[in-house]
Formats: sequence, structure tokens, C-alpha cells
Amino acid sequence: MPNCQYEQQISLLLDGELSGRDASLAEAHLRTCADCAKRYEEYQNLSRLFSDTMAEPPKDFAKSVMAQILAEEKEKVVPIAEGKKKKKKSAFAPLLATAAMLAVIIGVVSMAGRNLPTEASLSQNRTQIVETQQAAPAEESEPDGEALAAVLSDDLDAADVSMDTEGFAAVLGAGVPQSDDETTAEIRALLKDGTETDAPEAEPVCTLTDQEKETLVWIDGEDVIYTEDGEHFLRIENLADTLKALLDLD
Amino acid sequence: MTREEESAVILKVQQGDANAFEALVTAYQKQVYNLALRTVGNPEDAADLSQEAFLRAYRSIGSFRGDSKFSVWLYRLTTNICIDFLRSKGRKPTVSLTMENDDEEVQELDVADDRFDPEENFQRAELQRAVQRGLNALPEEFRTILILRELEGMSYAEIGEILNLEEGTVKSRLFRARSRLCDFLKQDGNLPDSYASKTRKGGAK
Ligand SMILES: [Zn+2]
Repeated sequence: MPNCQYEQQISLLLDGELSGRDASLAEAHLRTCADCAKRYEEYQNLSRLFSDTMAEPPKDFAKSVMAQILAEEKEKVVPIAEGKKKKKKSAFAPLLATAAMLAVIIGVVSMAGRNLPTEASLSQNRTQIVETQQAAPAEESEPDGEALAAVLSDDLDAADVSMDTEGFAAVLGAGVPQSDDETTAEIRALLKDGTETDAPEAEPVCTLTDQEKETLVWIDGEDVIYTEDGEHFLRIENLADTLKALLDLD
Repeated sequence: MTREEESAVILKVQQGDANAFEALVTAYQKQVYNLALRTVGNPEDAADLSQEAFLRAYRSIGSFRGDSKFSVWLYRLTTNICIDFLRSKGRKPTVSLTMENDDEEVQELDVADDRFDPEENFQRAELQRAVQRGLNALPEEFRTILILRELEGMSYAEIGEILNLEEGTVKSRLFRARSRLCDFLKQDGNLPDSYASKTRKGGAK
């Protein structure tokens, strides 16, 4: 019915998928275009209709799932002697892998306030990884192709084997391939939107350097603040823990 | 459950504590069930498929690496299971949730909610079916995207991750799906705005 070319923008606005500037434009348009204002309201009603008509899962759904799981567990016969009694890694092992991968992909992760190389030395070697807490000398190690493959694949078991710091350092020291779109998207997905906020006083907690973009990131209590242009600072609520986990900070 | 609590629970399960998994089922059952329900259209299949989704999640939780949200990972599993189901049967999602083709009024689907009085609940059951009819009329590639957005509150990037789609594809399909569903519902007078004011609470997310 509506035939305004802005209609898609209105839909994006509703989903919070517009950047600050585009969002302002769309909002301004809403105030002047009756068709779009009406459409916007309809979209909101549609969203509400979805949540208002949610159904309850069957009674005892969780119980029945658990009964099945526990029954399966019982059937599993694991001969402990032969069972590859893998050493359990901390929850951060996978996260660390991710953090390392992020670092590889992004190029540089530098952290302020911890004895780290200077910006200058970082920019000299964009592919080097600086991972504060785990920082292990990478120089002499042989690149470990297998470990790398494991890290790059989704195979946790294999990755597990190579998860020790040294192996990692070796992996990171090797000329690591550039990108994995999914992970890049993940980062982009994290640092998106947010509400405009003031420039933080403190030093940024990290700097993400992409081919052409440099993003500064702060942690402010539970929130994350970031800027891509050094001019507009955006705050994303409750993202601090995620970011810390990804960066392996406390 | 906070994000930290969730990570702790996942770790426990990964370390072999099967019982700990129940907290995850409890936390996500409504979202997963409704995701399945909206995708395949009928409560029985939805119950089976969401059960299957949790079982598979349990079995493969070792491969959950924490580099995407657990919800994203779980919805991806669920969506795949539902789409496989629809494709293997070469079928469309079921036309009706209840009543459509029965003459007796079996209330199979529990949308009752004590925030509403019986009349409103009846109305909501009607609307629920109307929404489902509208969703069923959409091609699967459009339907799933809209459900992930509206029901699960996923961002475009997350939807892209769940369905292996470019964000641009998500963007254009989502818009068309929303637009079509909106028109579909309006045409039958099933896009109410009056009752909505009473129900600001909202269930999704
Ligand atoms: Zn307009």
C-alpha cells in the first residue's frame, strides 16, 4: 500500500539497524511523511503481535528433554582406561582462541595501560599479535600448521590439543591467513549501533585496526563505548562482559 | 540468567555435568519452541523439533566455542532442524494451528496468558492463527528471517550468521517479508493496535 521510497528505511529504523546519521534522517522523514508514520506504527503493531501471541511450550517440556538426555548418558559406556580422557580446558580456552583469532584478523589489538609496545612499534608490524596476559615470545617457534588448521576449523577437539600458550604463540607468529568473514561479522555485529555518548576520559581499552578503519574501544562499567571516527562516541549497554571475555580481561 | 551465569552453566555441561543442562533448557524453551512453532506451524511437530534441538545442542555442546552467543548457536541448530524437517517432507508449514479444519474446538495451542481475560485470550488465539497463516504464505527463506527478527530479536548480523546469509540479503528479505505479512494481516483486519496498549509487557526477546 505505501509507496514511499523511504519505507525500507523505516523498517531498518525499527530494527535499530541504521547508523546514527541515517537514523536521524529516517526519524526526520517520519515526522513529515504521513504514509511512513502510519507504516511505522503498523510495523510496531506487527512486532507486538508476535510477542503477544507467543505460545507456551508443552507442560514438562524441560523435564522430558532432561529425561531423554539422562537416559542417553546412562547408555553411554565409557571405558575410562581407553576413553580419551581429555584434559578439560577452562571456559576461556575457546574464548582465548577467539581472542587470538580476532587479533589475527583485525591486525592489531593493543591494550592501554599495560606494559605494551608503543603504537609506533605496533604499526610497524601490523600482523603481530599483542595479547597482554598471555603474551609469549613467538619468535623462534616453528609455525605449527596443524595447530593452525585446528584453530581455524571448528573442531574443538583438535583445537584443544593446540591450545597451550606456546602452540598459540607459534600459530600466531606464523603468517596467518587474513580473514574469516564470519568472525569479522561477529566483531562488526558487536560494535554496532549504540547511543551517542560523551567522549570518555580514560585511555581506550583496546584499538581495533582494520584495513582502513580504526576503532577505539572503552569499557565503562557494564557498558562499552566505541568510536570509529574519533568524533562520535557510541555507548552499547551491557556489552562489557562480552568484550572482556573476548579480550580475556578480568 | 546473566551472561556470566550462562557461561558457567555451559562450562559445567561441557565438563560432563548433564544435569546442569536443565537450566539452559528452562531458559530457552519458550524461545526455541516458538521459533519451531512459527517455522513449521503446528504444535506437535514444534514440540518434537524443539526437543530434538535441545538434544542436539546437548550432544554437540563441546563444539560451542563461545565466539557467538549461545542463543545464536542454539537458534541456528533449531532453524536447521526445522528447515530440514520441512524440506525432507517436501511440505509447507501446516496451515492451521487448531480449529481451521476441525469442527470441534480443540484448544491445542496454549497462548492463554493471565494478563488477559478469556475474551482477549480467545482473540489472541485467533490472531495467533492469523499470523501463522500469513507466515505460511511467505516463502521459507523470508519466513525464517522474519521469525528470527520478530520473535527472537536477532540483529541482522546474527540472522546472517544463523542462516549463512549476507547481511544485505537479510536486509532486503526481511523488509519484504515484514511488508507482506503486514499487508496480509491488515487485509483481514488482523493487525490490531487498540488492544496492544494493554499489553506493553511483551514476551519476546
Ligand atoms: Zn515516506
